[in-house]
Amino acid sequence: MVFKEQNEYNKLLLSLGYKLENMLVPKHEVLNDKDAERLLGFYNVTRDGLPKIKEDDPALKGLGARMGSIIKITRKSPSVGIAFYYRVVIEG
Amino acid sequence: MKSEELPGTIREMYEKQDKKEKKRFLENYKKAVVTPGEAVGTIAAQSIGEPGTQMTLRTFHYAGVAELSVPLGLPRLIEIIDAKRAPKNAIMTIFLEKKYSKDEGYANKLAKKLQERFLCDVCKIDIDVKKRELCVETEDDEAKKILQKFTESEGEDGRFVITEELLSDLKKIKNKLEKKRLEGIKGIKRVFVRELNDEYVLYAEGSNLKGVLNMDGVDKNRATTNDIFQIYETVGIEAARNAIITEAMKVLDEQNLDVDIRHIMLVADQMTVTGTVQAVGRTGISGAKESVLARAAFEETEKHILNAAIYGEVDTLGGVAENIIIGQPIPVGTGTVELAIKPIKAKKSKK
Repeated sequence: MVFKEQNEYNKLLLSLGYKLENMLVPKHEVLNDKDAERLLGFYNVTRDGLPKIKEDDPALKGLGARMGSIIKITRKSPSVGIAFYYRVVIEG
Repeated sequence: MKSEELPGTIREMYEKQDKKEKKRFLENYKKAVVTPGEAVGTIAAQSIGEPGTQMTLRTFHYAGVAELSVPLGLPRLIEIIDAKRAPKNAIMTIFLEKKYSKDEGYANKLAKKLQERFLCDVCKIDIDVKKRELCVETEDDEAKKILQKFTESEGEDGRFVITEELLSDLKKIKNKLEKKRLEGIKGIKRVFVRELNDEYVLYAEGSNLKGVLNMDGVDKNRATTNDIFQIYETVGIEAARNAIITEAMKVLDEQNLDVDIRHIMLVADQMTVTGTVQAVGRTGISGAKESVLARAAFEETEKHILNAAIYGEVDTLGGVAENIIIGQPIPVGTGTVELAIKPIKAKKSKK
């Protein structure tokens, strides 16, 4: 069936680093170690205190995020324009 | 308040203002910021709960398509907040890729391709009890291909006969045949083509986001569904948060209830902190509280107290409910501030 082949094709694209695009998905980035430490220091929290995101989340595909890395999410917020949100990657 | 304290995006807006406006901007910003220790959750609960009492209980509304009934009103709001796995009336909105968006023929073709079609829709399936036979009559080519796998006796004008010793076996085969899907995507029951803002849009009854996104010709950027769990599974937790907000606001806006979007955003954020979509209630947020006393005070008192006793849980008394129970000041508002006194050594009197 055509559908099956298409599915395989999409999997291949994802494995090559193709990013998921949908209007509902805001921009996800992985913070580098320096920025991550600065963030934790600024809010005076540990990694446990941040909101979580699962390792197998479809939005993280192709980003190279590992467990414990912090994801910076650039949201378009109706109240403040652009808002940043941070999630820490946990076991999926 | 000083301009240095502003968060990044607000500061950009501040820098663009005139000199005269800057002072007013700061004042207004200061007014809009929530004071530390404010019980935002309680305010959000009340702000959503009060308009909820005014909602009509059972309203079905038509979102552009007369044939589709979209559940709105209180039942739908409860569905969203409780994070129900499959909503009662799932609906998908599918946009076409730009090059096809004005092609009605393509839209109709895609609609036909998406819609589920079962074998029993194109066949006449009968069981002859006396002869122990299962007769299938069909004119559809694809159906014939499938039937050829089951039996070799293909009669004239598409008549297939399957013979079995036992009647129950025949029944099993009949059930199996009826469920065979010829084409379409699992879960999509009906598809309608409508014109919206100069382009053709497909509305589908039933929902399968993963399947639709894999289809050619579908605008992957704009395809949506009202099934929040499917969004979570196919495009991730952040998309699910956005879906919760838009779906809840849609329900409230439709009845002209003016609820600030920040209350809904708070609820959506809380529902998605753990990386999965949690319900608001004993199965989700309230059941995942840290404090034993707070959980016991909410629902299922015995279960929580018993489990706490078995596992030797410790209550650090960090929340509101547990402090009310034991009669301490609650950590809300002025209660969040802890006072510490640094003792000063008393000076020795000169005497």
